[in-house]
Amino acid sequence: MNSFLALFPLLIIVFAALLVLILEVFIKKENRNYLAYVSLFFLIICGIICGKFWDKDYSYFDGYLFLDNFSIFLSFIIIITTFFVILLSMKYIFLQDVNYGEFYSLLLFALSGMMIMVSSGDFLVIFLGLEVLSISSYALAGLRIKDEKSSEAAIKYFLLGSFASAFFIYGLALLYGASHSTEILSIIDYFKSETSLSLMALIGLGLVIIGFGFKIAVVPFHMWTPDVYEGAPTPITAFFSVGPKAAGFAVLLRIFYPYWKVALNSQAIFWLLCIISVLTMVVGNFVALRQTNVKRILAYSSIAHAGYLLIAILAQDNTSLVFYLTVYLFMNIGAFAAVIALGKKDREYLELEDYAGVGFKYPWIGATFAVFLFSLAGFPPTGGFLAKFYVFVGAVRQGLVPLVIIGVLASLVSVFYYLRIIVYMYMREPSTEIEIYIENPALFLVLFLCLYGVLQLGLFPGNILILVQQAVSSLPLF
Amino acid sequence: MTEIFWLIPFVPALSAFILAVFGKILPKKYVSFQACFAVFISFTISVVSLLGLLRISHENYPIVKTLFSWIHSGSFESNLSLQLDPLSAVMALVVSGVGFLIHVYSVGYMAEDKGYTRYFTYLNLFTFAMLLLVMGSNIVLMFIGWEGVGLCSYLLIGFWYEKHSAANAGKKAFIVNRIGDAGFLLGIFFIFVLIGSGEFTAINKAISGGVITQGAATLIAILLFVGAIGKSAQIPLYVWLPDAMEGPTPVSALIHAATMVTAGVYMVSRMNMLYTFSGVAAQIVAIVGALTAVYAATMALTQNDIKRVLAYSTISQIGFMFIGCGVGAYAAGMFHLYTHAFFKSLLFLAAGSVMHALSGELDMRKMGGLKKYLPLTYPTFLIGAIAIAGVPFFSGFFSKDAILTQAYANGQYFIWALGIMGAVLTAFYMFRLIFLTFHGQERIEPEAKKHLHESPPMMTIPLVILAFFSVVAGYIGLPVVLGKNLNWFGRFLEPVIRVSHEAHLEIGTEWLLILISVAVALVGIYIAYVFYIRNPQIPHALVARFPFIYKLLYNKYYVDEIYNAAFVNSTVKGSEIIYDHFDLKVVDGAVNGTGSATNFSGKILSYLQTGLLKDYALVFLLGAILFLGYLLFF
Amino acid sequence: MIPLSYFLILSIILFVLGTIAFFIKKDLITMFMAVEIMLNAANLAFITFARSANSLDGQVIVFFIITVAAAEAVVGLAIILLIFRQKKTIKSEDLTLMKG
Repeated sequence: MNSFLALFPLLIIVFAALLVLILEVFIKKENRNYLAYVSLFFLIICGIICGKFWDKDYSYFDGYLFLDNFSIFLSFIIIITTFFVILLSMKYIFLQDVNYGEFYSLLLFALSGMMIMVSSGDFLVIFLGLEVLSISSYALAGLRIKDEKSSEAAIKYFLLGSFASAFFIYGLALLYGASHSTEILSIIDYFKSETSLSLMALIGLGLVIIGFGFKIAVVPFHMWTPDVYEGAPTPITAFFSVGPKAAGFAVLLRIFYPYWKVALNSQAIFWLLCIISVLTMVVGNFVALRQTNVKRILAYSSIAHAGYLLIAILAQDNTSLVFYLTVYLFMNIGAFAAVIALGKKDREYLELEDYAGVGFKYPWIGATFAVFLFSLAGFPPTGGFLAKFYVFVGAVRQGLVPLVIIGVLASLVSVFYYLRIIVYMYMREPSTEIEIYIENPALFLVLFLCLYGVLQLGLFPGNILILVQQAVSSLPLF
Repeated sequence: MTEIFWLIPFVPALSAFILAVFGKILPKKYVSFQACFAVFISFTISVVSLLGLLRISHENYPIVKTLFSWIHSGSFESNLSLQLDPLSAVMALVVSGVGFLIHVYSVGYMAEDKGYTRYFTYLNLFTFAMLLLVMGSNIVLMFIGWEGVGLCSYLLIGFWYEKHSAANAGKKAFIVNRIGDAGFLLGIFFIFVLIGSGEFTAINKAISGGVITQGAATLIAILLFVGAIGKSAQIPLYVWLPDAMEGPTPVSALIHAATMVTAGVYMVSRMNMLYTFSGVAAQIVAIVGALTAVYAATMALTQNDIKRVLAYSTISQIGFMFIGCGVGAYAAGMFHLYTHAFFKSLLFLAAGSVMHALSGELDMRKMGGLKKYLPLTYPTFLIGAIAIAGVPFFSGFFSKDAILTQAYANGQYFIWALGIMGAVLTAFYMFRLIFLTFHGQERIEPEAKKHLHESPPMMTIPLVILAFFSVVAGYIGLPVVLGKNLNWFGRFLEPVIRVSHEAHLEIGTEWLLILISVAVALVGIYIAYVFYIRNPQIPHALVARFPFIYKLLYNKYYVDEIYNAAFVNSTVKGSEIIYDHFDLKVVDGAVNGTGSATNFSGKILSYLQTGLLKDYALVFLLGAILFLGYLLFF
Repeated sequence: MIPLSYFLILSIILFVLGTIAFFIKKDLITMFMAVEIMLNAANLAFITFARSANSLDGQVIVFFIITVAAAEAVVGLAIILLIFRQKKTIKSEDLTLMKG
């Protein structure tokens, strides 16, 4: 149904971002948390409205933006991510001297960019969303102005990001030249109708995939990830590791779901994605073994997870993919929340050595962190287990057995480094005197919610799975 | 009363939860009471359920209780549902019964430990996971229990994490088990894909209905067996179990002797139709079991650490159980599992009692002549040793004999011969242990001798009870030759274990086999007697005469070293440097080798991450060029 | 009239030149300018295709890309400025705090 209402969630977020930007001028430094409250308020409103639009199928701008169930579900994922990240940041930006004024508003702009990405079927609109997200992200990565690592992360992200964008947009140009359209479905329709393989279109599609490969951080387009993750303010790292990845995979799903059905010349692309998936799992997990910085460990772990997610794309298993993204949101944000919990004024504890004995000193933080790590490693009965289980079963069903074997072995390797953190927390005497800023109810709320999410999804996934199925069944096919 | 059988696992779970949350504020006495009582309730329900089961006709097996629908998506579903049938009833009985006694024993053994509450939390949690494993009605639930017991085992081995060796042993156990679990998980994937359901009844139906081919069945069975090899410490993944003895002794008794390590045997018995149908897989099970039975027994010959001898003996005895399963005598394998649970936990607990008496001494060379100081521990230990050695009229005799007879009857003469060899060795090393510890000269350190005392009743009472069962437990499964109806155990399991063809021997042959078993046990004991009591210089003479063999055995065939050399030195020159930098050795031995090889490749890859922006862009560009090149030319 | 394929070839040359410049130039601003050249190569391609297809879409897209590039430039220059304030250099090889 063509209705102006389709724009509503997006407008709310953009309005909130602008409002926060203006309010910042008038609000005293002591009261800066109000900015967070305002953002949270609008996020909740936006979430509720998205919920109301479930099953309504609104669209606007001649169908360039639409709110089918899939985009609503993905919007939920990224709205919840942003919600958690804001909760995590409230104390953090005060403790670590992050520029607070732009922080929330940039975060909301990034969110709006992702919402555009997930709710369009047109490459041009997706590109615009991607750029809104990227430009905000570059700035967000550099927001710890006094920290040289943060600025280094920002410039690396910025230059590599725009480099990748150039590839993407050139690919789009080629696709447009071949098919005279920027719409995903008509481009794929072009692939179907063209019996002789059109070189230009194929290269165009390849370049577009490369552009997204950068955003979702798959090998070999992943090089920026560890550095940017390490340098960025930790809540922002949490944001990067979940939000853009979810949005990027949503777009990939929109491309490949119809594309595999056409599959005239998909053989090459299929094998390429297989290779990329294997490389991503292997490199991500192996390099993570070498890391001593917890943020870097989690960065490489997030690369590895992109590899598992690619398996779901290859297996055409949309339900598993979206379910995995949902679980991934809770376990990854939870893990980062635990990392953020261990910090005090102008000091973060990020080295493995710092985690020695944390399990005994702060039993709740230690225990929840351990649960998230177990979930990331894929242990039952956490959500991480079920998510991997679905993906792998789906892949075996499609006959991707070698891929699954590599996946299982790779996740076996991943146990080494996840376990390493737990071993430090529970089996080492504290080496340095670690203390934390306890008065942080918002952060503990996030920890609790994520814990709940991970266990709920692991033990009673039924309802969520039904929602996921409804969401993916709304994916447009010809 | 049978309907409440599903409560069996959840009572210890509840107890573990309470202890985890409120453990800090609860008094010690209450903690011990609650932990033991929870397991006791499970035990009572198990007994009641078993009795109830006997009254129900076979057609109604298994009784399934679905708690809720867990995974329900499209073509496959999996419920959280527990089942009661003879197999799970027997296992529940063993786990909760032996578990209860070990809980009680732990109250005395761990009395002084500062991690008292933590210990009982883990122990309760373990009981829960193990009961879930044996009572789950589908393979996914079994896997969850499987992972759960692995986790608890890891926590309990590394319980004294201050001890570096304990922490390392814990990690080793965990990682080696994960290798097996990877195989198990792949097996589950294939079950879901090929059969579409993980419910055991559905799997059996699929096999009898010809839904899957023999090749597929073999694939699944072997993958699942890889998991069993890891969990049940068979060749080549046995390396973790001897190290696991770093944990508290009751843990060794419960987890690393009586229950968890036999999970593999339970799994194979549960999937008996699959293995029988495959044939090839069953043969592999038998071969691995037989080889392990002999191999581990030879290593037990020369160990001086009392717990390590028992650890190798466990590995070897599980090998026997796998022989039973592999030759199609699943009931015999299960029967040995059941008797083994009693006498092996008895042996461990008695060894713990010896350690307790000697202030933690484990080395048999520093014992000897303890008979008169430990008036209760000695006879119970002796009973355990007699039972495991296979002396007639004790439980181990009946079960081991059942396995070997069946192996012979099924024409597996080679396997049978290996089994006999294993049996001789078993009798020998067990009595070597007895003689070195309790008989002969006193070689006790003076310091330890001052505190020498018999253990408190909290520890000795479980010993006596277990000793009693080590004697009588075998009488529910008498050899067929004495009358078919006397093998009550086998008949009880029949509804679950559908034996395709019962192999029968002539009465004469069967008696002969029994006679051989008896002779073998007695010979082993006699040799031990000659070596260690009558002529104690013989072993030394032998060592002097065959130093190579002794060294080989003493150093456990240098397996750890070989693994190290093969993986580490050849792949990575100068790997010591890496070792130095990689401060946390995740595991040693085999796993250490692969671990550092993996780590090494990680290092190479992380060199690529130079920190230079242009290098990143270059990798991106090269990746893009390769990507497009592939797209164009293939 | 100049054939359309000439424009296309020019755009490809521009793209490649931009890529090369990205690698051989040392300071961050020039590297960023190289990326701008790559974006403009895409613009040229879009216009060419729009012309050949006789549709306006491609030309509209170009405006979007120009806008996006401008926004990127703002943020990018701000970040480069920040780097210069901290390190007194904008050479890309001086930025190796994080690696491995």
